[in-house]
Amino acid sequence: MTIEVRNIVKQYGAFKALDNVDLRVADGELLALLGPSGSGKTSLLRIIAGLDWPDSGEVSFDGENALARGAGERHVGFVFQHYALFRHMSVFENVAFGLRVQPRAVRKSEAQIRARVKELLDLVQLDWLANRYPSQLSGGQRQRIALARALAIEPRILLLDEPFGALDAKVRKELRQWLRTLHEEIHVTSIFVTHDQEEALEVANRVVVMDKGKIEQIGTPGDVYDNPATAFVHSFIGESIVLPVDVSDGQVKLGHRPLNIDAGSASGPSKLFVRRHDMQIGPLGEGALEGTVRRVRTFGPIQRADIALSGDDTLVEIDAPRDRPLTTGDAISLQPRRYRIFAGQE
Amino acid sequence: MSAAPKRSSLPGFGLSMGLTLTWLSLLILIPLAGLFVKTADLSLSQFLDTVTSNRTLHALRISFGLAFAAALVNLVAGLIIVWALVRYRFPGRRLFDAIVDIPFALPTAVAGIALTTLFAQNGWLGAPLASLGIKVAFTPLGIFLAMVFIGIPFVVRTVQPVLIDLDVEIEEAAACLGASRWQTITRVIIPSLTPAILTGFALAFARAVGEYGSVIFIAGNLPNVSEIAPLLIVIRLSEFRYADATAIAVVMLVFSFLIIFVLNRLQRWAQTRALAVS
Ligand SMILES: Nc1ncnc2c1ncn2[C@@H]1O[C@H](COP(=O)(O)OP(=O)(O)O)[C@@H](O)[C@H]1O
Ligand SMILES: [Mg+2]
Repeated sequence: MTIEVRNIVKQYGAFKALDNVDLRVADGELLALLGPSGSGKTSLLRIIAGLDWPDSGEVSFDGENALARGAGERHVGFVFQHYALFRHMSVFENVAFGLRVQPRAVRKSEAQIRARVKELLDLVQLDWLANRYPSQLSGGQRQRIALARALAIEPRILLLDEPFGALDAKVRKELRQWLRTLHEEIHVTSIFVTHDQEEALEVANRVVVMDKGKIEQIGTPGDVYDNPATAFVHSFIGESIVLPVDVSDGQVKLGHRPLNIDAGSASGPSKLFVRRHDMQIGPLGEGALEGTVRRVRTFGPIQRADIALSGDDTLVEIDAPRDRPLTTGDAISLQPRRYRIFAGQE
Repeated sequence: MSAAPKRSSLPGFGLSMGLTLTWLSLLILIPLAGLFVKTADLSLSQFLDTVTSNRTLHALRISFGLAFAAALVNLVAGLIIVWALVRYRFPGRRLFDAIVDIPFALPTAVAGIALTTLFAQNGWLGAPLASLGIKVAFTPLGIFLAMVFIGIPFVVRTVQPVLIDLDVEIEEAAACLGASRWQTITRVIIPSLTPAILTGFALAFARAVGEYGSVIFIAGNLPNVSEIAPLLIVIRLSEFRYADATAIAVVMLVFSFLIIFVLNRLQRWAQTRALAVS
């Protein structure tokens, strides 16, 4: 099932939670919606699920208008951050719920329902918990049950709103892997919301980066990391050194110091973005940036150093290989190997 | 459960347990024990005669039967009122919310007189009902209405906070799974509210069984027709038949205790299902 979202606007009073959002999700894709808290991820997901309606714009599934249908008729599985399990029902009954509420004409027999629930509990590897109640499960188990419940109705689309957000780091990592594998098994078109970039880059085929109700970039995990389209994406994904620069006549200056780099299309006050590991260290006098090593930590294959740039003493953190050991007090130069310059300084 | 754990992380167990027991004994257990002691003035056959006389049995049936019926009506009406107050925004909502408490606050005699005036044969509501052949004041129906009146806040005030706290996400989850609105209410919302509903029902019922002030005005108090058990006790007292009075009281006490106990178990059961501890 493909999902197409066109020009969606959603307002709360005067505040635009979604501002002209366009998105296409291919059949069987696992898409991550990544953005800081408040960027409109949940709003978008709820509109796709039919739990909310946009002020304008269109949503279609396989070319068919979805906005004409209510949540119950869209066959969408929704997994909530806080599980939203039915507390008064056993795990088994939670998973069976979607099958039991079907109209009599299409409802499965009791034996078929039991078989299907068993199959789903096997799929999430929790068949041994069938008779427990949600309050007796750990967070990770609850979320897997919530997923089994959503899958019971054989949804055409699966929407997960920060499904692992309430779990601790270790469980989160396990479930991430597990979700990836599960998706390979069942191949249902899925959108996965997260504010955790590592989670998005690791799980998804494609990542949609959102900020302030707008889509900033859509691309593969490699794309958004290596070729960020905007200043926001560059600073949100991966860690970057950000320096305020001034561009005039193709010449980039940091303060009064001209830098030996290509300005691209930027001009006027701009920002220079460099990944920590993309700073090449050279002896003094060779490069564009100069500074003094303040502190060095060594772990694994890298050394991480705090460098105070000459001039205004701005502190930047760089990662360097260990073949050229740095010591506190060294005066060095830094040449950005890969970098991006975006116009504007706000 | 052992009485006092050897080491507890909660301090003050001895002190608080001691105070609780003393307080319960002074205020509840000792007066109730007095009731049994006084009743023992009667021989067993005298006791049985008193409590199985037609008049006593009728009064008990009126009190318990109507209280139960009134609590059932309050259960349904209370749920609808709670739903409206919590889930909809309409003008005057706060006012309605405040009105629910009136039966709590009103002196019971005032409530009784107001209801009697309203439902008397020449009253605003009594007159049109009388022309339909329905007599309310001075009949069991009047007693029933008074019991409904005083019981409604108990259901509303116990269920309301639980419904407010109920996560809307569980309703959304049900909707996504294809449940109709009605299925969501009956299979998800009401079961989640069950412990609170049972508590509200028990409170409304207990209040109606013990109600005196607001009922006696509208009841008319005809023996074997519209006489409630608490009134019969007062009559026996005014006749100085103290042991007879306490005998009826003992029966009411035992009955009430049994019913409240059963409701309490039910409520516990509903709650442990929701918050099962392994
Ligand atoms: N029901 C609502 N009423 C008012 N503002 C809302 C409502 N829901 C969301 N918002 C606002 O819309 C913005 C986007 O919210 P949301 O979609 O939940 O973001 P995210 O899921 O990315 O954290 C937030 O600033 C939030 O405060
Ligand atoms: Mg959100």
